[in-house]
Amino acid sequence: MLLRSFVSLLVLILCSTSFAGALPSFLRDGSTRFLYRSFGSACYSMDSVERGLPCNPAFVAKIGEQRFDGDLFLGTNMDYIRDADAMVNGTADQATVAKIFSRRDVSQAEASLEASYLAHTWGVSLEPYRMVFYTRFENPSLPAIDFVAAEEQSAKLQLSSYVSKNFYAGLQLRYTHVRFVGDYFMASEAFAGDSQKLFAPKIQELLYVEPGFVYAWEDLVWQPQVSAMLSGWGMSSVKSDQYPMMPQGLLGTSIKPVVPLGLLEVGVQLDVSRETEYWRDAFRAAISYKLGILQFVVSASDYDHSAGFLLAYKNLTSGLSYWSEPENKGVYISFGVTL
Amino acid sequence: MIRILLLLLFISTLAGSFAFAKDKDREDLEYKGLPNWSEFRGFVLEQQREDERLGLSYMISGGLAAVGGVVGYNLAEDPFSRSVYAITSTVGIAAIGLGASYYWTGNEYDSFYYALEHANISIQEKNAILKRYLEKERQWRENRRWIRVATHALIAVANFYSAAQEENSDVKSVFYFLGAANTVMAISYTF
Repeated sequence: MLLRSFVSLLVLILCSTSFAGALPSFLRDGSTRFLYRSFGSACYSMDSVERGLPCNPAFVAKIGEQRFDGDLFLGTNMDYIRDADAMVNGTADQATVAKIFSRRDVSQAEASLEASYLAHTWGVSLEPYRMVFYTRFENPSLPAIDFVAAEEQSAKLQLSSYVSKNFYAGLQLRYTHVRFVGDYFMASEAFAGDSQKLFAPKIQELLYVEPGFVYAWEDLVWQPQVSAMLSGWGMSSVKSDQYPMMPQGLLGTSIKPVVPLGLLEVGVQLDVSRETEYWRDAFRAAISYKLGILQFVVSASDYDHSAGFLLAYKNLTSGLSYWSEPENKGVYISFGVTL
Repeated sequence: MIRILLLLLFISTLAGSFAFAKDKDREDLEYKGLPNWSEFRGFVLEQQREDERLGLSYMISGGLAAVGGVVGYNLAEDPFSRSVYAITSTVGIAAIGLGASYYWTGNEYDSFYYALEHANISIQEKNAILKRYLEKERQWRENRRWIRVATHALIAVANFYSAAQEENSDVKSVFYFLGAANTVMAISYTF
């Protein structure tokens, strides 16, 4: 019944269009940064990595513990972040613009600071600073540029409850204030006299309402669970190509096979949105193994893959994640404290 | 400027957390049962097995982290990865020591259990002593909890005061963030 309703909802919401100029979904996603970079969309159905708020709010009641996490998340290309900051805040000069657009490749950079508190049935998270930078060049002979530099502030509230035997439901309210510079234009326009219009900062307010569900057979040996979530559904103060309102339907499952030592979790996720062109693009698989202070994570889809580890010792955590796709790759680190 | 301040804020929060440094895996180690000696014995023996398992996990993962950190440090090219690998290696060595401590020395209940288990007294007397021990221990936990509430509440007040006095909007927002984070932490310890 739940599955049928979820699929019907997807059919109603999703249609086939292209989205030139949109910030890629992996940068628009509002989940705890390190979790999403390591697991990708599989984080919506897995709960063995404990960092910040869970991707799927229904897990809050299932986890049922209190925790405060503070996390600093940084990606490679930090010099790009400085340039992006100058663009967003209107302090970039012609030399900065020339430097940014002299990089004829797909580039991205990300930095964020987040504090979150998880209680038994609710969770709250504040992300007072997040900087994102993304460029993509097309057609080398007459280059066209997809470019976004954005500064975000976000707040999340997750509410969750046990509904009936093995069934949990949750709701995430996510507010994001974003100030960004971005457009899809010809490279020659960037250096033209009226380029100021291209780089005029825009402000957008986004409010997401994201329901999630988990059905978990916790009394079975391998603890299988099935999860569903509607992510990215809500309203925006203005319409923009860079931050489109693009709901994603997520359906996933995971198991925890018994191992002699440690905790192993294997998950598969189906992630469908208007960006999804082929069914094979929608699937993602992930494996997590926790032993003592170390937790290893590997995840892959047809398009990209990532591998990383999290080191947790007493209250402190550090993490490293490698991510790659055909045109791009990155290294992401995370430092955190848990109280 | 704001990024440097936010980084300083994060580091200060990190440093502040050392005041209450604890091991995540051992934080909830508390006997919540009745003051009944046979029930308590079962809890302690189960916990001893858990300590051995945890100790072994820490020693193995610590060894992996120590070796992997050195290898990763030498293979990595970017400074980000190298810094994380350096931390991993150092923490790995510390974790081996912590794991050995769990494996061979156990937890704080062990000494009390050992003293009473081998004492030549009746089971009723053991139950009575256990009752007094658990009362004292719960009182100690309660005091520690309220000290944490007061500490974080005071830090929050100090930061909100600083925010109210500060004229620079960037610095003001940092103080507000610190104040809000400590308020959340103070509230979290009241539950």
